[in-house]
Amino acid sequence: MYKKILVFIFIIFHITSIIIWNLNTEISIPNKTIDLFKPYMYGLSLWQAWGIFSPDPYTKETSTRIIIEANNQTIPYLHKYAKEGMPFLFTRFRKFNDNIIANKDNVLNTAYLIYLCKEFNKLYDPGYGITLQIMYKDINLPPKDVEAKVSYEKLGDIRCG
Amino acid sequence: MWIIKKNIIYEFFFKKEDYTTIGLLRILTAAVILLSLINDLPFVVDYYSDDGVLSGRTSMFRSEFRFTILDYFGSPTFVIIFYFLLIIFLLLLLIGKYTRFSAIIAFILLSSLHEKNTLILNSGDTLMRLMLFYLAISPSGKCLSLDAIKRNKNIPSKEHKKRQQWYIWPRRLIQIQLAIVYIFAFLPKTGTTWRDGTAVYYFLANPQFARFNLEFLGNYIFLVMLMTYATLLIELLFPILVWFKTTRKYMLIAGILLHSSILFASNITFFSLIMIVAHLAFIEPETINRKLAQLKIKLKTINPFTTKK
Repeated sequence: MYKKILVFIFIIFHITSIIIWNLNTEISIPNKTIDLFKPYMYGLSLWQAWGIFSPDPYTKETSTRIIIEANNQTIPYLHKYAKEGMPFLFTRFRKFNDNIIANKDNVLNTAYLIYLCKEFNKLYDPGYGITLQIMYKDINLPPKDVEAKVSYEKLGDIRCG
Repeated sequence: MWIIKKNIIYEFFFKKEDYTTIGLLRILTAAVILLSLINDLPFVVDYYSDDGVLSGRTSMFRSEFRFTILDYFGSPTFVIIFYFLLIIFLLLLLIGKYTRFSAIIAFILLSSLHEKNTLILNSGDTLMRLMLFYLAISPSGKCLSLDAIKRNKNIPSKEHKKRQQWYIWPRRLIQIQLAIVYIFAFLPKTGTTWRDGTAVYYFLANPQFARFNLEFLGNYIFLVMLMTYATLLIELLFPILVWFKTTRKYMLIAGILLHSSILFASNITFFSLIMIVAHLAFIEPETINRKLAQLKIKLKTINPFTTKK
């Protein structure tokens, strides 16, 4: 019986933890309360968030754009990802792309640029430059009388080699 | 003690049941995670190693209490070995060999892999990790496993049923988790597009998500609104009505249909798959046993090597 009581305490604690954790994304719960559950939720990798396509789905198509400056030429990799022709559908680069755009974090952008350097070192002689940009393209509801607006934003650059 | 023993809550969590549902959940969860890992195979080094997209700076994007073995051993070779080890333990979990041990190790390895690079993860990964956690804390090898076959080998068949039973609470935790997914997917959908009924269009017309070009749906705004409001309605009603016997079937059909259409129309592949699998937690073991028995009979009649008496 004592075993069952222990299991019951665990069940109640677990359910409370996940409810409080998820509620925290909806209403502001005091930090002290959240801190109580952090060791359990983070320590056991039980952290979770389910706000998929909320409050709205993206109303713009967004992607990162890689521009290479090598041999006095500018080569835009219009495709979102470092490797040309990388299958878009099934890779995790879309999610990574979303996070780069959402975070706009210098450390993250630099880490990604260093990775890109390593990737493109196979293709270009040392001294070439890489610029990382975000491309935004509006998604318009029909009737599409106006052309979808496209804009760019620079995230960072690096000289490789 | 008395309170717990006598009331409905006791029955809800501590009733003993046949473990076929958990067995099936174990097989399908392991299968979906394996598919996802195989899909990621060409990019393992890019995603998770120190030579990957985060250039070894992974710990900077993680908060306290979070840990991964790969922080200390992040070389591409180690990551590949680690990855294949995870695949092996998931295969063992799928066939039900050393089931409990395999589930625990697979959960630790998958969590470690996820913690290495959280910036490439999606809700599907979260649910996969949680499902593994629930399997690791339950004796998921009691049914539909090699362990069960071995255990029941020299035991009379009358005893099998008893040995296949255990407490219902791990399945209840999966059910509650799924209800929570629905509740917290519904609550934050407060934006203009959800209110005016156009949200589904923006999702399907965005090449970041759409599997096919579905922009033409914008010409049928009534259909778009129907899909948007149906999504909201299912997300609102599922966590309530799925607990009642009379409405459960319809809620499960609606939930599975919703995620099957997401699977078909968008490239949110593994989230849809693992969500569909999680819905099975609401199917009673008796129903699954009945279906399995029917399937057995069907296979016997199809098998050309079966001799007719």
